[in-house]
Amino acid sequence: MSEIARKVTRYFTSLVLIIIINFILPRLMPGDPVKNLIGEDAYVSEEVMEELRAELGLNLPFSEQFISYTSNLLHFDLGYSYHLHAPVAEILLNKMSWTLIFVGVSVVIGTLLGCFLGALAGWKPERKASHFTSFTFVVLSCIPPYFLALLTLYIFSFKLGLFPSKGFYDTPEIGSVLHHLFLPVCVMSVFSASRNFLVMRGSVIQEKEQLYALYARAKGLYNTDILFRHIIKNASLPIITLLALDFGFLFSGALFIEIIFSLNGMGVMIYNAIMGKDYPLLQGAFLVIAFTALLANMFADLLYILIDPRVRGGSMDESV
Amino acid sequence: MKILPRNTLLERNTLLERNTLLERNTLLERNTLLERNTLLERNTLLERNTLLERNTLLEVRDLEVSFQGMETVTVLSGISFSIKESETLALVGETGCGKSVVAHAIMNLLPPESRVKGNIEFRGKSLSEMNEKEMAKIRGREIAIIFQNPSLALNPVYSIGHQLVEPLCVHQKEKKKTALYRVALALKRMGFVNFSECMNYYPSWCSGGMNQRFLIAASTILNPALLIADEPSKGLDKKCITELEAELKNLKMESKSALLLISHDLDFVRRLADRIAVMYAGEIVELANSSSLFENPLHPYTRGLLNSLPEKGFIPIPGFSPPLNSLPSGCRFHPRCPLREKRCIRVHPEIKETGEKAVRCFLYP
Repeated sequence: MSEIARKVTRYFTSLVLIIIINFILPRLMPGDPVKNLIGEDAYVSEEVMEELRAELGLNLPFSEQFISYTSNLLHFDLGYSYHLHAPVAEILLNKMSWTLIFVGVSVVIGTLLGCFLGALAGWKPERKASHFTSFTFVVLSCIPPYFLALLTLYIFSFKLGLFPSKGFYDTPEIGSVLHHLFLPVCVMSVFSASRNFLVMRGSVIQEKEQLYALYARAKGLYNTDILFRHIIKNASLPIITLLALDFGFLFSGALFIEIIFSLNGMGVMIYNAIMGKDYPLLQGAFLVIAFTALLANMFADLLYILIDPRVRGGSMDESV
Repeated sequence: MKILPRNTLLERNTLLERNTLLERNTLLERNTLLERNTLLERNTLLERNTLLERNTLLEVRDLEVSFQGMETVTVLSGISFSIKESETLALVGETGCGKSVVAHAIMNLLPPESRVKGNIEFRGKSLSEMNEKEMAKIRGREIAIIFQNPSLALNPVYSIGHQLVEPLCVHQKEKKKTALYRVALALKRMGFVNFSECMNYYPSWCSGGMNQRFLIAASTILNPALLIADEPSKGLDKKCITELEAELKNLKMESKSALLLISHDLDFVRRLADRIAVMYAGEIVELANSSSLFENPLHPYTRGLLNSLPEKGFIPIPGFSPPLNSLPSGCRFHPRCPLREKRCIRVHPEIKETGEKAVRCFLYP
């Protein structure tokens, strides 16, 4: 029980820290926030700027600004984007769902594929097929995802014309969406799989030397039965850590791929926000990404408890 | 002219009749003979069994194991012994003399960098010539092993019940529900009062002694003909060792399986083994009945071992056992032997059988 309490406080502290950093960072930036908000292209008189400052509460002391900021957060009010003329929360919610589908599907495919092939390659590393998959995935993991995206876009979309080159859909139907998402999901899956593959392969090579694997063989289990019945669960523990740690990395990779395939999700939105200096939107996006990373870590912690009884602990006295 | 044919006819008839009669007789006789023979055979078999002249279960001949690495190290050489049905043979010796390698060689569990020579026969079938698939059918069902580190031999992420069910599901294709029931019974027999609760435990929650009993239950649940116990008393306290001893004795009484007991604990071995093989630096130096080995040890190493027991005066053997990659010339024990002669340094002694005993020493021609 105390373990859970400790974990909850840890996550809560992280959340508070994220909010504080998110609050302070824009205020540390040089220049006038109101000017930044409006952007460089529009001209506004001094009086209007003063009005805006008062309206946004920027003339108030720091502490009061923080309180109003957090109370807004609790009401899911992330500010207003003056560039897109819409509340930030609304924009984010709209864009995020697409990115989550795209990243979610890819990560699931990539993890399953990477783990499966990695486990097989680790089980019999001396086989030719294992050499081949290992080589392929090492190469793939070294290629940055945006380059892979460009390459596939060039080959399959531009040269062969098999897939559309941009957007989520032509007409909002499932077939069209699948057709559009095929290439980006493939690239993203391969990117995710390559990382999982390498970790899983090493993990299996390490775990199969353990005594329990030998005992499984001594019990009469044959060949891959030992792998799938005994080793794979132990070997997949590092994958959970990898997924949680990799979350930010995967997300950034997804942003690049989105931009290249002109998928109108978070990636393109953040890119445009940076280009147009849309600070409220950026701030909101960072907060949401940080929050999802936190959630991913929490999820990994929960998975550990579920899979590994050693984490669950609860040593019991010998009751015989 | 008319009579002749009649006679011939008659003769023919009688001949036919005779023939059939003869045939019948021989058949009858043969049958009774066959029956008698089988009866005789059966009787002799029964007699043999009652005379404790049991069949040989496992026969190891000239086993040699080497590991190939930076240099090839021969870990075992010239290992020969046999185990009869429901007999207990103990392998004793210092740590690192290759006892566990013998166990792993029998189970065909040695790592790929090992090279095995010689013959291991189990019930007349050569284990060393079997492929992995055939061997998998024997492992766990006919020959089972208890590893020396029970807490590591159990999988940390599966429950005890899940792991104990496995031999039943793999070898007998039993359904999980009935298998779980049998596992519960086995745990009850091992002395667990809360056996149904134990099935949901994980190895990390339990003590070494508990894990050991789980491991024994897992290895004996299919009543293997041969059970190999690799240092079962290692790392256990006195109380656990006496319990373990009782359990092993119980097992032998109930399932009549043979036991290959590997240990360095002489007291423990003395109470369990029928015959004892003493190993030194990868060889068997003496093989004898348990009682005669303790009362009348022949090999100087065996004598040294017995003298190092607390009740015999705690006298250690001087020196250390040699590392297996740089063995001394001649007799491997000569640098530590109080009775060495000139030839011991040059010539490597062969193991010689004298009656019930076998010794590897020049003192016993």
